[in-house]
Amino acid sequence: MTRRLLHIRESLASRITLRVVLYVVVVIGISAYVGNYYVLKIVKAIQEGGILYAIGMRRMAIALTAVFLLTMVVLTYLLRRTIHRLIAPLTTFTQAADEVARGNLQAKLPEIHSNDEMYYLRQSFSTMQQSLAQQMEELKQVNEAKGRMEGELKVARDMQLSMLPKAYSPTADSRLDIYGSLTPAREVGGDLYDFFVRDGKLFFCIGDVSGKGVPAALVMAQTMCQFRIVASYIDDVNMITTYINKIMSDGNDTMVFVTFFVGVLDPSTGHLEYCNAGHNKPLVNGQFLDAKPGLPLGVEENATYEAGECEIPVGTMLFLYTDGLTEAMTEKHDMFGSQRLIGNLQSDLDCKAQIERMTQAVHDFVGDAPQSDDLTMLAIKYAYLKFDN
Amino acid sequence: MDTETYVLGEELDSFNHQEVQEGIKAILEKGNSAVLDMTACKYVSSTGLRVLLFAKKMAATKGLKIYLKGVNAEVQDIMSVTGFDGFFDYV
Repeated sequence: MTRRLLHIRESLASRITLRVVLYVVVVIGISAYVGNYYVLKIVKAIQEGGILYAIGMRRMAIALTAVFLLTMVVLTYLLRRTIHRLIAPLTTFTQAADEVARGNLQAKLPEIHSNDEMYYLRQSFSTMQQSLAQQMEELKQVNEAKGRMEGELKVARDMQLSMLPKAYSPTADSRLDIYGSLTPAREVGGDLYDFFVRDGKLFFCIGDVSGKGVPAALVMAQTMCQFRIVASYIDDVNMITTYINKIMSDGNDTMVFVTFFVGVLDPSTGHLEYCNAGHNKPLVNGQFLDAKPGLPLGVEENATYEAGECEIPVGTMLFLYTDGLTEAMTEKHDMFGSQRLIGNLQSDLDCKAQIERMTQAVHDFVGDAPQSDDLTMLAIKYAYLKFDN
Repeated sequence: MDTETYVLGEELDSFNHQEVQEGIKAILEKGNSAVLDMTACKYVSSTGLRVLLFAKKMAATKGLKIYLKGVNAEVQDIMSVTGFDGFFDYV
């Protein structure tokens, strides 16, 4: 940059010098003409007035021409010096611009005492430096805040995922095969599932908070917590749902709601009791469970629910999911849908393998489309039932 | 008490929920009940349902009403699955 500007400066100076040289040539031309005029006069004077007069005229002509030439030389020199002095600050500006480009926004600018274009250039340059410094500072602060948020979100994500129960693997001692998977669309999400065994029964739930991201994650944590507390003391699925709904409806000014399905399975008999608060109906052996949906949690404090019951035969899979599965979308907005869901259920798979198969099917279906909603699946089987006696 | 109609687009989801919510809120704040014309609407996400719910609650606190109009089969299906059957008033 510096070299380029210097080159312009040099060429500017050269061009001006050339122009001055041209003027000088013109002046010499004029002088020659004037000289010629005097020579003619001299010749005429010799013819008419005598040699002495002629000599006087010649001297005068030479003196005049010399003064003329000298003046031009002095003018050229002064002009050149003035131009050099005027554009000298450009060098400092160029160096300052290079400094700024390297990140030093405090680069020193030349002192300008005149009140001309250079002065205005200095003012503009100085304003640019200040404005850049201010923007850099703001950007730094925004980046710091963003970094902090990202860090916190990452911790929140780990915390949210660690709230979820670990899988029950089918072992010789285990009566249950349970596997769940939760993939938030963003760092954190509003889907949930939980399960635990109490008094020989499996209590489980799946839910979907309306919305996504941090607001949904707060409600997800609250719902998980309520389920753990309420279901630790109450066996009746209708009561569990009703109590959680009352708690969630209290002060729900933002009207965030949770679709929720709760079930209690007795693995010693295969008897399942369930209650549905507006959640997608689970599948039993590839058939939708007739779980009549009541209002989602948080909508209406006095909502009433209807419990249902059925028998789950040994080896039959209960497959629960959130609408992030059936509504997984391709870039053309085609949805995965119930038919593909049913088509990818395979009765001989264990729970983990079944969920992995479904996850793969969804990935294959949506392709490169970004995940639009939280995706959660929970599969339960008690094929590995082993009675103690 | 007057009613004013708010016409919804093809989808009610997280992309336009704020705009719709503000639109309905503006009607209710004028002291009018709102008719939500959902004839064109084919998809309502959970965030969209929350808007309808919010509208109904807000109307109730002002002694006003929210009516749904022209709800088609796809949206009705979403309402049924999520337990909102019979929760809203229709015209």
